[in-house]
Amino acid sequence: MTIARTLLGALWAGLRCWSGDDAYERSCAEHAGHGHEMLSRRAFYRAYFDRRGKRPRCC
Amino acid sequence: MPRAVSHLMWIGIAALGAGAFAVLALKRGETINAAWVLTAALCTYAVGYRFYARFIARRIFALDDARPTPAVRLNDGHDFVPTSKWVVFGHHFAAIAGAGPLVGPILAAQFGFLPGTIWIIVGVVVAGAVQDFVILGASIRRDGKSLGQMAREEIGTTAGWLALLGVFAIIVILIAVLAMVVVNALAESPWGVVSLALTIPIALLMGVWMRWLRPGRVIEASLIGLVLLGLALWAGQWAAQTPWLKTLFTFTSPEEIRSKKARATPIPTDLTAAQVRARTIDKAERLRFNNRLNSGLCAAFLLIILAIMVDTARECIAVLRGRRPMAAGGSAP
Repeated sequence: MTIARTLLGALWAGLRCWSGDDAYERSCAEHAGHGHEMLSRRAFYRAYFDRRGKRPRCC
Repeated sequence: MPRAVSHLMWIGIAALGAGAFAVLALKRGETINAAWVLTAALCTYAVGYRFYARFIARRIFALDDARPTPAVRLNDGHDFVPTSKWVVFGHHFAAIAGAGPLVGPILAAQFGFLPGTIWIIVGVVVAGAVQDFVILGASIRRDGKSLGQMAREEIGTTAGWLALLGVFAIIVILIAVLAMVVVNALAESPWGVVSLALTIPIALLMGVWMRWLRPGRVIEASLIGLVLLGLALWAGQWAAQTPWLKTLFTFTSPEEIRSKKARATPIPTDLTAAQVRARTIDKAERLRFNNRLNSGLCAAFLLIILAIMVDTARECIAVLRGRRPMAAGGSAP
């Protein structure tokens, strides 16, 4: 049971990382050690999409 | 690896590819195992990568791993960001899998398996991939500039504008041809029209979900999109079976319109506009998904290849045991 739970947890974590679902949490963890003030989740993603939306792209 | 072994291996790969092409050329029948197409493609790409791509990389561009790319030199965290080679590969995979290879092979397929296969495989090796490689190599040497910018700086202002105009014209023609193909495919198919039309609000909803409703919840939005796409397929079937909806969503194909001098259907304009809308409004959502989708598709593609290979091996064993023919089929196409 514990092994299955661990495996499922790892799978879920991998899926979130792969899809970018955990970008905010990762950013928080990254900035926590530097004493930076973190944006709210909503503001983080708005800035994220705005920044990416302005970037030139192909296809 | 010893030189002789390497030579033998590449001769073997080339022979295997040639054999697969021979099967495609000589096989008469309505069905053929997809493994032959895959074998021809994989062997040709392997030979093209090992010899032709190496020739271009070494002799023409003289690529050097020690030279930093613009992403490293100009790293600003926004426009120039050093990225994993697999992510970069995903982007280029998306770029080559565009409109160009779609229409021609479908038309060529009407004449049998060989023309379409040659069109795609040989076309990629000697044209499509080389063009991408050359433009990419030139862009890397010029701080990641676009084709138009490079032409303007290297040749002159007029040439730059002409290059941009050419690219613009190609894109317009591509959208027009794609719209035409889509219209022909969807004409008289209310199921297809309804299902495809529903994908546009679904895509917009996913974008709104990830940006405003539940910021950054990619997996949630993906699951919702998946369920809604399934419902869209069901709704298309339902519409095709419901008389008044069937009448509403059944249109006349352009060929028929031309032959009958009938009134023009509004579908082409609607679809083109919808395509452009879908490509601009939900771009944030598209950007995020492109990469993941590409890598997922690559993995799925590899699994499919494996499945086909296993199936082929099973059929071969069945043939050896005298159970049934290798590729079933009746009359010649």
